[in-house]
Amino acid sequence: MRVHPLTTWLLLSPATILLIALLLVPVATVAVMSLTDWQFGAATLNWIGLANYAELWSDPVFRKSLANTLLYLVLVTGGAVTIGLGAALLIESDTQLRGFYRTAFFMPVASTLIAMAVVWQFLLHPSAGLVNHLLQWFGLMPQDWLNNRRLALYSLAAIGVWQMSGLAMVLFLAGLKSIPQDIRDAGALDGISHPWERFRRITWPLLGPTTLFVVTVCAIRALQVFDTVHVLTRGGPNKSTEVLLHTIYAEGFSFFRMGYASAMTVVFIAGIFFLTQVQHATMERKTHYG
Amino acid sequence: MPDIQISGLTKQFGATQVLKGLDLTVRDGEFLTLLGSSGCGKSTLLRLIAGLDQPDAGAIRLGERDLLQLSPSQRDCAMVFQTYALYPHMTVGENICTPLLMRGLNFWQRLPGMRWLSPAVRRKHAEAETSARKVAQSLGMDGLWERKPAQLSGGQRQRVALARAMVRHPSVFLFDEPLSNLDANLRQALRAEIRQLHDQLGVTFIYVTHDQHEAMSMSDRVAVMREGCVLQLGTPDEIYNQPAHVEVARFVGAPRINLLPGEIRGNSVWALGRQIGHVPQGQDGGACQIGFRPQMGAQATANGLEVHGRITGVEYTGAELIATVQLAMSEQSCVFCLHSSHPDLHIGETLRTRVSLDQIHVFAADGQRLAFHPQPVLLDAAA
Amino acid sequence: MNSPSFFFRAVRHLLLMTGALIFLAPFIWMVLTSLKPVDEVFTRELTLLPTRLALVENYTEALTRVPLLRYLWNGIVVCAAILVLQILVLLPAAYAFAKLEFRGKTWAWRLVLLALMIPHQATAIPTYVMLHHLGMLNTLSALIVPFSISAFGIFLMRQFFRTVPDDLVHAARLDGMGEFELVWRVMLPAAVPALFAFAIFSVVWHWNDYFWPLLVISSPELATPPLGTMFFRNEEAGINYGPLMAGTVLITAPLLLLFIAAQKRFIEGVTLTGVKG
Repeated sequence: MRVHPLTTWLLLSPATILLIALLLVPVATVAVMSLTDWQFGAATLNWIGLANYAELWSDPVFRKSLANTLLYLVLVTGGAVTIGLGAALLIESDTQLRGFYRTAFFMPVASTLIAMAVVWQFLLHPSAGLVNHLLQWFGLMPQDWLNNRRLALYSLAAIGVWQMSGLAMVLFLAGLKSIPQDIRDAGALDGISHPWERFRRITWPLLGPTTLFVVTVCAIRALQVFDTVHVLTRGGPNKSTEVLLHTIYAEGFSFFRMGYASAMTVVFIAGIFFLTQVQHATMERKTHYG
Repeated sequence: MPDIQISGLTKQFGATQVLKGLDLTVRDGEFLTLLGSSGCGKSTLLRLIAGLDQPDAGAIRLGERDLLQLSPSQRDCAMVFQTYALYPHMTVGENICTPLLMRGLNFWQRLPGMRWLSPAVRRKHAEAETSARKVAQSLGMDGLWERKPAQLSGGQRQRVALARAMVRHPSVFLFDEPLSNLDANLRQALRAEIRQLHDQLGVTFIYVTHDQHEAMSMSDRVAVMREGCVLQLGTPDEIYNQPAHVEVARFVGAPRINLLPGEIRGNSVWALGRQIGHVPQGQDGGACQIGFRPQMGAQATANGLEVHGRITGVEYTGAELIATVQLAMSEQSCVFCLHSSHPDLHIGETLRTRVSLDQIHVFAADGQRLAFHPQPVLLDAAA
Repeated sequence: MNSPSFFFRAVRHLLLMTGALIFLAPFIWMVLTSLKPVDEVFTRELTLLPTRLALVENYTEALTRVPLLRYLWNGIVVCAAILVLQILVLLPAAYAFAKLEFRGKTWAWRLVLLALMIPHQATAIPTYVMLHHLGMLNTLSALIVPFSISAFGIFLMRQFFRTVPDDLVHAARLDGMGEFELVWRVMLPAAVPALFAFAIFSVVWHWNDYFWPLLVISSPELATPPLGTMFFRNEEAGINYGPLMAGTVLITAPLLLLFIAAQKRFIEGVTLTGVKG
């Protein structure tokens, strides 16, 4: 279907221009900037090649930040996927109160994270917080969740799991729905009746592509953690909760070392790119059982 | 094996009552077809027999045993599904072996890794594979052992499903419209195969379909179902020639049976303005229905109900001429199947013929068949 | 399967209800605390319900300390403007990709796919610098313009438009409709469900966005809800959690009410973020 080229151009031009100006050119700029030592407000800049990257490699703050981010990613993805799968299986196994449970688990996903982070700050308060109150009630030691160097990242990870499990659950529910009833029936007739057997031989194998998909979705989101860190810990105490985006923010907009921050951004983009590729690959596999 | 006794089976889904107190006896070793249009409850009945659903009321007994107390795998039924229901992530071989492994090994032996740890488990696996291969060979599926279902054609998948059912040597085979997803030629071939299988194994087959041709050609007995009840249970011959209900007559036979309104006065039956016969005493008077099949036998006799009308449609199928006729005496349209040697017919012409009284079925107003005694001689009406 | 046993049902409810309570606890606690007066917030023991209702005090404090309603209003304006701009820009483009042939189509589509993979934080630095040079920092436009293009929106709507029958387009052309009219009169109505999901996706994302407003906005009057929350928290300085919780209730309420009102659609829209990544 060919129409007048001018018409096509008019249809496409706003999108194309904005796409190039607001997305593609900036990304290219970031890549280029990462090869300079530019500071915001400076009049000149120098080409320093890969010196920024070399500095990143030996920068203890960056290394810590990267390690923290990866640890956070593993914790949150693992936790959210496990809880999400468990909740989805339990909800799907019977008809009672499905809507209520689904809503309850999904609410954190729907809420404004910053606002809820403030609520969490109160919940985790060393003396007035609900969490410590409950622990004392059970006879356990209260902790300073956000100010203890050893605990802070895990506290943030717990909030992350709380925020993400509902998303994993909803994606798993969709995956479970797509398992044909006929196969479950055939299994019942073949003797696959015990819940563990059903899970191992039918549910889990057929859920395979979905699981991979959910893992990559959660991982990509987890990699982008920033809000809770900035609101609750600012990367502290002692950089124990410093994460990639927060470091980029600090370098770029507190210290205004934008060249250096750009190099970090390139690393960040590479991580996202890698996970997105994995995600695309799993999405191909989702239609595997034609 | 004793017969399967089904009594008073009731099942409701939401607001719909699908089965309404159904009674049925399935004789040991017979090929029984449940025939009906969608929504009549035949698939529901099959699933209840298999144990995939529980009835709201009623009983299913196999001799002395109450089947409702047993889980699906304990009932010793095997089922072939319309969508084949093969495990997509397993190979053909693994699919066929699964029922044997689930039965032959206990829960602990089936845990992952046990195959390498226990020689007994390994032996069971080998035995299962031998049995499975034998069955696969008998169906010609041996060469596909390592393939996954996604790599097979529809017909191949259905044979694998059949093999998986056969490998358990069950007492009852259940078929849920297994041929609906296949093309016509394949359907014909598999129909014959399934019938042959039945004769070979001598085991009870319960077959669900909406295709009356399938039902008539494969079964020992047919149960025609409608709205959760069995309208008639009988051999294909009985179903065709002695339909117990007007709906049975309508469902079976192609083209459809012709139905004309009639009247019962006293115990005489009147149709198209003629008295054509009698029904037993004690029938209420009033409206009834007269039915006769489109296939005309030798009707050159002078004795028969004369019908004539204007031809509104002609179909030439090679073997037959199928004429649709608007009757002169009523507003009904009738269909007649004439041998192709019959002289050409054209739309708008008048067709005149006689319906032999022996071919006529009489149904009461509630649809039940009435014992009809035709008039010995029926001459033409006075002009 | 068949009716599960009572025992199974009970265990399932026990597990799910415990989980549900844990997940809902922050919300419940937030609301309860917003009703408590100062002396009941910091207590030695655990007190669930307030003995004295401080609803009026806390909520008044929240609304007057900082321009909370202003924040909500800014959120509405920004999200609505972004959504409208996005739709205006992406719909014609999606139509072109779905239904028209033109030179360079493959390359243009590849550009869109490439743009899809760019996380929005990655372009922050150059965009910030560009806005600075244009003098647009600390304006609502700075919050709106960078997001006026949604590569994901183009991707989504193209997929959807491909399922609209070509014949519909042909019929419209024969009726004398120009291409632009076609997009708005024929394609748009057909695309309403997908657009709705996209709208939720866009609104939720931008309503909750903290990173970008943090970078470009410094005046409280221009803050969106997440940024406003931070201003509010810093004002309250963590002394009195009652009004602070009242504030978060007010800020969280709009999205949560939308969620409860249109659950299915909401979930649909948010899970699209999963597809985008």
